[in-house]
Amino acid sequence: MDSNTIIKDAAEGAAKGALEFSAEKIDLLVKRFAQGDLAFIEDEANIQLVKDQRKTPEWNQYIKYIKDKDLRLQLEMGLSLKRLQNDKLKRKRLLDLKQKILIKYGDRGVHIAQLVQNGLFGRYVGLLVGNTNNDKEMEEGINSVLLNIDRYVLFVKETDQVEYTSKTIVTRINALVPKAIIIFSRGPIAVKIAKKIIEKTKKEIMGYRFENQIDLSSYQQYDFILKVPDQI
Amino acid sequence: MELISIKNMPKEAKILLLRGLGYSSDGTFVLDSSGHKVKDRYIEVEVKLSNMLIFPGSTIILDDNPLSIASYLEEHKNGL
Repeated sequence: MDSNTIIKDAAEGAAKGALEFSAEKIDLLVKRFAQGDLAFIEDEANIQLVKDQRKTPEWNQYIKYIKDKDLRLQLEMGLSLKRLQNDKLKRKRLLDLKQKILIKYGDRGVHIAQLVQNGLFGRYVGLLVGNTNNDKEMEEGINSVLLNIDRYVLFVKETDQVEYTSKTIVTRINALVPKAIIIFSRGPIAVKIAKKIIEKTKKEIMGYRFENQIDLSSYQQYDFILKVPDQI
Repeated sequence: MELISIKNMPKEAKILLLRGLGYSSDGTFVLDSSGHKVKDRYIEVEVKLSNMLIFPGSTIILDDNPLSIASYLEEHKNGL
């Protein structure tokens, strides 16, 4: 099949596209591409999304403190998810991106992105670092959250056992004495399990207070276990 | 750099474009000069004709998604 046939066939099914992308036009595009003048993209929305999020205050606030390229990307993808979740029409893109974060970075990467997506990253950094203008403290706090997310943030699944998960939390608190732990659950079953986990954990630890936040629109629950200030 | 949207480009025209760049397609996936499916260098997924990005330089063909784009921008600070 020569070039003319290809375009002719294309014109039968998609006249407008074929007119815009004739064989001559494609030859020209290939030449310009070779000169480094062009890039070809399927959906402009993805590039725009990345460009836009790099202008957000959150990006500018945190990015200077994160030296590791992969951690930066995980945080950045959390910002992408956040923007996509605000539009129900973009749900397919959101799920596709989550899948790609999982492929590249595994569960830990998804957890970091979710923490950012849910707006909890900033709050958690604030809990750890407090109000500081010290760049070094900020850098250490932010990177500590990113590197230790699976120690300090628990994502409750529908299959989690109350007894076992509560014991895990208590052990972590006793061993690490963290300033804060976040328990994240989503969906009616996971939220119900999380409530039981929290009730059980409350009876087992001292020197911590509990806060609860529910996002009814997405049926998400965040439980914060916070070290009481006078004992920090 | 100018960005050309290929969202409305007919499949046959996309194949023609790939051929001009030294690649081809089996109608679904992008193939390299040896006939192997091209994988997105950042996320290791096979690139589909229906969802590809092509960046210049050494002709980088990626899956069109925010993670691959952001990864590309990490490597090419002045790209796009």
